[in-house]
Amino acid sequence: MAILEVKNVKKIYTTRFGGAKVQALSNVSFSVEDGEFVAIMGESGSGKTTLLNILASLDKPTSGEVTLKGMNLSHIREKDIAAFRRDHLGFVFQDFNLMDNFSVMDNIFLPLVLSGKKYPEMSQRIKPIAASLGISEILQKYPYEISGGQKQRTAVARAVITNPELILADEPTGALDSKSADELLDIFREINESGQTILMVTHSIKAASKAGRVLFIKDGEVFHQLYRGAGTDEEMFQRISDTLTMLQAGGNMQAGGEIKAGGERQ
Amino acid sequence: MTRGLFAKLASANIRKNRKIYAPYIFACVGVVMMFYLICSLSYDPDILDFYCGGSLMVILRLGCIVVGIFAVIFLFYTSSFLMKRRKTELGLYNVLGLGKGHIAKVLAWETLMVWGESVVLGLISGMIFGKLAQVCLLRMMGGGVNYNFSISAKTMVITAALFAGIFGVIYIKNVIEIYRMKTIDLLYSAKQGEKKPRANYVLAIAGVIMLGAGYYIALAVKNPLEAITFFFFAVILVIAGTYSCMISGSVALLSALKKNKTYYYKTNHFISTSAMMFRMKKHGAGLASICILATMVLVMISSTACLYIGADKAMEINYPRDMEMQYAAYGTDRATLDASALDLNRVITRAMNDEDVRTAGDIEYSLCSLYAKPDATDETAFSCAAFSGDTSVISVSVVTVDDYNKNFGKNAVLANDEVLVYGKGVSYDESVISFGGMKLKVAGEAEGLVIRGADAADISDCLYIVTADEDVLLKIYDAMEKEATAKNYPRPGLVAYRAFDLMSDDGLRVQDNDKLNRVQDAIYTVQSESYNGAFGKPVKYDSLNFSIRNRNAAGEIYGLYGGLFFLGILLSILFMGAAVIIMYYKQVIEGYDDKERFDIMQKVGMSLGEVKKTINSQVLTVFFIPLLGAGVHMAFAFPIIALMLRVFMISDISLLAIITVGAFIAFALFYIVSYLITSRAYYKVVAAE
Repeated sequence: MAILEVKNVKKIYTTRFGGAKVQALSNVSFSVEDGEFVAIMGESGSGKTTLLNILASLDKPTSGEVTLKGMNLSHIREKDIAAFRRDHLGFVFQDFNLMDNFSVMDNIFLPLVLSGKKYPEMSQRIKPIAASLGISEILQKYPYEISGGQKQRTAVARAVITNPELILADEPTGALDSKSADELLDIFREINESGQTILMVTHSIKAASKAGRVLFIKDGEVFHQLYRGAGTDEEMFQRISDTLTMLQAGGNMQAGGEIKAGGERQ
Repeated sequence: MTRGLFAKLASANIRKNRKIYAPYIFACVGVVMMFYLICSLSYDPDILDFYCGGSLMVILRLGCIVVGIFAVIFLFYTSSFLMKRRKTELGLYNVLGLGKGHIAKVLAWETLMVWGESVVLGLISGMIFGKLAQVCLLRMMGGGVNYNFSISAKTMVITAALFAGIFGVIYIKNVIEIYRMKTIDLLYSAKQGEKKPRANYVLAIAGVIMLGAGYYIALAVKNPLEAITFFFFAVILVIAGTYSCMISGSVALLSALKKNKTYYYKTNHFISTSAMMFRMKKHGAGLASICILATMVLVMISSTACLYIGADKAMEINYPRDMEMQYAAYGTDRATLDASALDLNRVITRAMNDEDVRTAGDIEYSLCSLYAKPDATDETAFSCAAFSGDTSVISVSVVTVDDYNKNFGKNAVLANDEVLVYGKGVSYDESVISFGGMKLKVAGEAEGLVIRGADAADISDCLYIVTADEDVLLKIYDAMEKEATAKNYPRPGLVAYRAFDLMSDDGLRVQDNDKLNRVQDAIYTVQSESYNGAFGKPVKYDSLNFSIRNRNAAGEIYGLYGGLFFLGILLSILFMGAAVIIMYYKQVIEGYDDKERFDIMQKVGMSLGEVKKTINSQVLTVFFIPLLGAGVHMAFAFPIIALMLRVFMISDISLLAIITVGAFIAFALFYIVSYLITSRAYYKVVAAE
C-alpha cells in the first residue's frame, strides 16, 4: 500500500522583485510504499529541497497533489497543519535544528509536549528509543555539550518518538564526519527494518546506497530510479555512481533503457 | 593614501550599520547635551546672582558629576552591545586581508567620527536647550528672566575633553578585545552556543537577603536625621539586591519550576519556562539596570516635585507671619517670663518706630515648650524626653485658653481638667492625656491655632495643648521640669512669643526682602540696648534666649527647591532616555535570538500562531518585570522618603502619596509607549526573511 503519493507536482516561484518566474519542480510523480526506505538524489538546484518542503507541508505545490495515507496535503486547513506535521511526520535536518535552551531529553519530548502528552507516558516512550540510539547517557546534556553525531541521533529520536507514518530526512549526514555518518545510516536502516518508512534527500552516494530505492531528480523532474533488489551496499554504491556519471555525461538524454540495463525494473 | 581609505571604510561602516549605530549616536548626543547643559548652568552668572545661587551651584556641580559617571557606565554598556553585533563583520575584514592593526585604524576613525558627531550635535543642542533650561530654572526659582544668550567656552572644552576621554577608553577596550580574539572566533562569535544557565543559589539568596535588608531599613528607620544616611545604605543594598535577584534569582526560580515535572511538561509551560531561563540569564543585568533607572526616576521626581509643590504650603506654615521672635526662658521663674514679654513688646514698638513700619495680624502668646515621649505601655501618658530626632519624641507646646481665644478669635471655655489639642504630623484621638502623671481630659481640637514657624519647620511632630488657665500650664511645667531635672534632660522652657506681618505707613504689606532684613537688624539693635538697661531695670538675660526669623529665608528655600526639582527633571529625562535605549537594544538582541527559535519551533510542529503567542508572552513578561520592580521599590521607599522630606520642612504625606502615584502612572505610560515603539524594531528583525 502506498503511504505517500506524489502526482504531477509542479512548483513555480515568482521572484519578489521583477516578478521573474523560476520553475523549481516541473513535473514530479512517484509513490512510497509502507515500510520503504527511499533516497532522493540530485545536484544542487535540482529541486530536492523544494520537493521536501512540499512533502513536509511547509510549502504548497503550484499544481499537482501530494497525499499521505490518503489525505491530500493541500486540503488540510492552515491551522491544522502544525498538528498534522507533528502527528504524521518526523523530521531530521542537516543542521539538526535542536533548541539550544532545551536539554537532549526535552528536545526529544518537544513534539509530545506540544501534543499534550503526560510526563509518565513520555518517559516510558523515550527509554527504548534512547537505548537503541545510544543516547541514554546524554539525556540531561545540552546540545552545545554533545557531538554532531549525538545531535543527529537526538534529532532522530525526536522524529521517531511520535511514531510518525513517514520520516523525512534532509541531508541527514551533511554535517557529520564519516564515522558518525555511517552510524547514523545504520540507525536509519535499523529503524526502517523495524517498519518505519523513511524518505531521505541526499547528495551522498554512501548515504543513498543504504536505501532500498533511489530516485534521481534533475531539473525539476524525476529522471530515473534504482532498486536495490538483493544487491549489497557495495553493489548499490557502484550502481548509483554509474548512474550519476551517466547523468552527468548525457545530461540532456531522457531517462530510458541505457541506464536500466543494469537489470532494474522501471 | 591608505589613511583616506580607512576613513572612508569607517564612515561606510557607520552608515551600513545605521540600525544599531543611530540609537548609539543619539544616546551619545543626548548625554553630551545633558552634561553641557547642567555644567553650563552650574557656571551661569545669572543663577549665581540669585539668593540661593551658591547652594544651587553646589547641587548643579553634583548633578554634573552624576551625569559624568552615568555617561561612563552607559556608554560602555551600549558600545559593548555594538561591538558584539559587529564582530562577525570585523572578522570578515580580517579574512579579506585587513590586519588587526588595520582594523584598529578603522575603529579609530569610527570612534573619532562618532565622537565628533556626538560632541558637535550635543553642544549645539545643549546651547539651544541651555537657554530654555536657564529660563525654566530661573522661573522655577521664582526669579526674573533675562534674554542674554551666553555661551560658555570653558564648559564646551570640559565637555569635549570628558567625552574624548570616555570614547578613548572605550576604543582601547575594543582594540584589546579584538587583538585577543582569533579570526575564526570573530567570525563565529555571534553564533556561539549559549551555555546552560546554572542557578547560582548562593547569589540568589544573597540577593533576596540584600533586597529584604534594604526594604527593612527603609521601613524601620523612624528618625528623619538618620534617614538620609540609612537611605544611602538602603539604596546600595536594593541596587545590589535587584541585580542579583534578576540575574540569579529568576534563574533559580525557573529551575525550581523546571524540576516540577508535572508543571514543566505542559504545552504552555514547557517552552516558556526554559526559554525564560535563557532570556533572564542573558538580559537579567539589562533588566535590572532598567529597573534601577526607573526607580531612580520615580524617587527623584516624586521627592523633588513634592518639595517644589509642597513649598508653598510649607512656607505658609513655616512662616505664619513676616516676622517671628521669642524669648525663651529655661529653668527660670514666671516673673522673669512676664518681664521678658514686656521687654519684647517694648523692643518691637521702638524698632517699628525707628523703621517707620507698623505691625499687623499680631500673634502674641506665652507658652510652655518641652519635648516629650509617650510611654511604651500607655500612649496617652507623656513623660519628659530629650530631643534626638527620633519620631517618637514630639515637641509639646502648652498655651492658655485665654491666649488661644484672644489670638485666634475663639471663645472656648474649659474646665480645670480639660484641654484642647492640636497636632502637626500627629492627630491625637485619645480622650485623655497626661503629663508627668497629671491627667487631663481632651475636650476637643484647637481649631485655627497657628503654630510657631519653628515648630512647623521642626522635623519632630508637635502637639499644642490649650489649658484652662495659667495655673494648669504651670503645673504641667512644674511636673515636667521635676522629671527633667531628675533624669538630667534639658528642662522645659517658658516662652514669650510674638509674630506679625509688616505694613508700611501707607497700609501696604512690606514686600521688599531688604526691608525685612533692615527691620530685623533694628530689632536686634534695640534688643541689645534693652539688655544694657535702656528700658530701666534689665531682665536676667543670662537665662534668656532671644531668637528671630523672618520670611526672607523662604525665598531662598523656594529657589533651592525649584533648583532641585529642575535638576530632578533633567536627570529623569536623561535616565528615561537611557532606559529607552537599553530597551531598544534588548529588543534587537531578542529579535535576532528569537528569529532562529521561531524557525526551529515551526519545523518541529508548532504553528506560526502558537510560536508568536508564546514568544510574545515571554517578551512581554521580560519587559514588564522592571516596571513591576520599580513599583515595588518605590512602595518600600515611600516611608523613608516621607521621613527625609521632613528635614526639608515638608510633612504632607498625602501630597507625597499623590505625587508618587501620579509619577508612577505617568512613568508606566511612558514605559508602555516606549515599549510599543521599540518592539517594532523587534518585529522587524523577527519578520525579516
